[in-house]
Amino acid sequence: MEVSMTVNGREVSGDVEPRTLLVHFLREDQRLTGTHVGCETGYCGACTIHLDGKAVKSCTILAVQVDGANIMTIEGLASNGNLHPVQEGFWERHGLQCGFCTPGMIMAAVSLLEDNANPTEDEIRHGIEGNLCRCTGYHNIVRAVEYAGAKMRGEEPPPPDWEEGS
Amino acid sequence: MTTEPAIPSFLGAPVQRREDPALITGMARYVDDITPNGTLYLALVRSPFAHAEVTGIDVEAAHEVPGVWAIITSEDVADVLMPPTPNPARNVPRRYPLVQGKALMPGDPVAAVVAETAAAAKDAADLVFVDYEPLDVVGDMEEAIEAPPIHPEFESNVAYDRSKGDRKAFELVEGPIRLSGVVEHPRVVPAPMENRAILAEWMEDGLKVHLSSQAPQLMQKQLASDFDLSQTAVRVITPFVGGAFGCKFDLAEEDYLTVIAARVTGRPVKWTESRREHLLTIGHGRAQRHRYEVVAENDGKIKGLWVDSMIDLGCRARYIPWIELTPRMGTGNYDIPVYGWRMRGILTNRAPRGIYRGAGRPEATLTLERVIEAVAGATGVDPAEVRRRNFIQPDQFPYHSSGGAVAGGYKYDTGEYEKTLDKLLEVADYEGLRTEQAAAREQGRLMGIGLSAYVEVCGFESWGAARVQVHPDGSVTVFVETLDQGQGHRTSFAQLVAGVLGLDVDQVKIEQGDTATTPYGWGTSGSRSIAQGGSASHAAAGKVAEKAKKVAGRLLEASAADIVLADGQATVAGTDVSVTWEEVVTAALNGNVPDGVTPGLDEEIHLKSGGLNFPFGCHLAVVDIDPESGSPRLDRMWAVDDAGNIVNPMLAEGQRHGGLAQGVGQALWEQVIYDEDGNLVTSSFMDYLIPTAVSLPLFGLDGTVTPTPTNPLGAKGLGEAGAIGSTPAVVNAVADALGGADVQIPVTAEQIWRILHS
Repeated sequence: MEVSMTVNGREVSGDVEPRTLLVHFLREDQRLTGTHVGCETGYCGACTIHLDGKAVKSCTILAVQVDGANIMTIEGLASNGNLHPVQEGFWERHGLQCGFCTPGMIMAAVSLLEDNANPTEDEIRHGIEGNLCRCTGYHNIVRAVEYAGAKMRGEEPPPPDWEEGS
Repeated sequence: MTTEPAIPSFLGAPVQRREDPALITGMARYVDDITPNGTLYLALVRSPFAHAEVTGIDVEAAHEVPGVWAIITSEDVADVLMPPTPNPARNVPRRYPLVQGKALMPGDPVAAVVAETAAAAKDAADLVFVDYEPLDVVGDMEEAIEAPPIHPEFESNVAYDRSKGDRKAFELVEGPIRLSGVVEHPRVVPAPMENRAILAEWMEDGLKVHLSSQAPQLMQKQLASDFDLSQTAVRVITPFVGGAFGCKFDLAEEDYLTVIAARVTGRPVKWTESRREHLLTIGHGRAQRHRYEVVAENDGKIKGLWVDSMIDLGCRARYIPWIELTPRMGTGNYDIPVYGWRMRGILTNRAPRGIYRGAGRPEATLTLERVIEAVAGATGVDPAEVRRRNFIQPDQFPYHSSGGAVAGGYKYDTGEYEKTLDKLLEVADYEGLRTEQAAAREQGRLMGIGLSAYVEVCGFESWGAARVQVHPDGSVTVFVETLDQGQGHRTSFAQLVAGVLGLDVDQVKIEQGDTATTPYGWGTSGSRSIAQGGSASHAAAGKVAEKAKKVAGRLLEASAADIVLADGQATVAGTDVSVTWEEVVTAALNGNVPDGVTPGLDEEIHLKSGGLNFPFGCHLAVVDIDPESGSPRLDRMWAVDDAGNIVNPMLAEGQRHGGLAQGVGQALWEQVIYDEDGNLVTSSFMDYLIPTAVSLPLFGLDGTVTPTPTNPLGAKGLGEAGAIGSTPAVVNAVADALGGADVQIPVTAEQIWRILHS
């Protein structure tokens, strides 16, 4: 089946089997391999992308379902070489280790902060609950989102843990 | 080896990660992201039965699926060699890439299909019809002892039965407190977010493999041996690895099938493990059952300990040498005069047991820390005090643990266990917590406080290797044998080398994971990377610096001994006479060198270490239990760890957070469950519960610093500590909330509810 959509601001189209998942269309047809597959049951969130501005898991959607939609993947998040504040937060606050969950986690966190500009720790945790990370214990992911939230509100981010501790 | 660690200037700095820009923008490549033109895909036909004779296989319909290139069945791989080496003395059976006659676990591979797309390969795999004759399933270890052997060539399912220590001496130990108990260590799954993946290509000069791995050089050696090739004809490339935690330290059936499929088809072939396949077939961790007997005085001092263990090996062996880590670490932080153990390895119709973060130490620590709690409960002595009274004292180091030569322990390097405990009790305000707990109990709330102490063994294989290459523009590449899977070696190792050469961290690049360029070594396992790979990188840079100083001395007409490398300059100490690093490099590369010095600056070193290192620490958990549902919530958690000198505190904290989370998961939620017929129940993340963001608190971290003399950095291993200490702290906290109940991991809401209602 023919399918076309906007991906990271560019019109793309392809001829896919009806059963093709959006994540496979992005990874294999579009060669946008920053979106990852971690579980194929919609549980881990490594495949999280933005569909018309909202974070969704691209392994639970068929490519043909999003014909005409506006898709953004991790590759489209930075603009003109400038990192998005959430990307910056993950870098500054050591919010990633192996990096495999990171693109999905970042896309979920961007969506979270767009809905709630000043989330509490608890709200951050619930906002990324659908994204699994096996490396960080989420501690520094929470810190990264706090950093990004402050930046996006034009505030000074809280200092890192490691200058105060250990 | 030096006893006075020379600490370079960048040691201890929280340098930002240099690998992150690629990872946060989607530019980083993992194995599954690499797809050469013409790539074919492999899919497996797997046994739905835990134990069954394969009586027939029909591949005709599968061959009709468009895009299918090849179907590999048992007879195609009957002469293929695979690790481990068969060993009849320990009932280690020969392992094949596909079932030879009898499936031994659910998911055992029966056939492999190669096709032009992953979907076509899976479609065709579904159309391979296999006839099975189901057999009785050998599940529980106790039953397996008497059950007919699952490997007919062996006499029993008891693969080995070993014992060390003086049982008679233990039986003569006197003391008023004599306790015994059982500690279960259920199977858990490493579950890195990136599943396993391999891409194999047969090139004009041999085999090229992209592999998600912890030890590409060992995999190159193994593949060369099993496919009868020179090691020069096998190139293993490991790009970014999405976590491993022990499960990517070997080659499995699918790796061999992918290599064979690439040879049969003449095309690149890729296999990417699904999460279900991971949960079904990866080496499961832990899988032990311990029965302990302990003798103690009324003041809590332990006089003797005996641990009788069974280890569930699963249906075939994977990692032979690692199995006795648990009994060898059996006395942990404590000076226990009489100790001994028995360990039986049992074969069952389960997935093979493998390595998972901690690999043997978490089992030793959990049992011992449950023993300490039992002694505290029986004597009425505070659990913190029981630990303190039994700690090995600083003046006893180097200390031969676990019954010394009698029971085959380890020689500990350094330790100050009381210091970490004191610091933990202070930062967590232990007394305040006990007061809070008393108040909570009056209100009918079930609050529990749990402690643990751990010591672990790190730095396996007694050497590390690295090569430093200096480029004409002065930038430096370090080729190292260890393999980052998220730890941040590209940053921490660069810090070490930049510090020695007086360069900016950005001028140093770390290369790993390509056997065509990196030196031979053991890769990353057992928290060996900083101690071995880091020390080797540092030492190789030291040799480069030594030579650079000779070259600079000639340029500056000064003695090499007076040259200082700092800020990109070579300076005569105490003067402003200097040349730039680039000028030194240019001189060296152009042969403008003193007599007796060879041109160039590159150096390689295989650095022998002074032995194993033994990091340690104490953890404290506070849990709240919902009396209605029994559901436990980890409310607060502190860890005071001592891993000697720390290279990058930011990275060190990250390692500790991740370890803590995995240990907490094991304590409260994670366990592999099989049903009575041997089917895997926990075959997705819906059933196998790893921690989510809402299930964990922020962690309170602190530390002490007791350097090791076994390497020039004074650094010990750190990657596994969190996973070792946190499980017993959380379990002890739950038990404490339940008034000292006998609980087993994972301490689920159901288990707690049953205790509350019994």
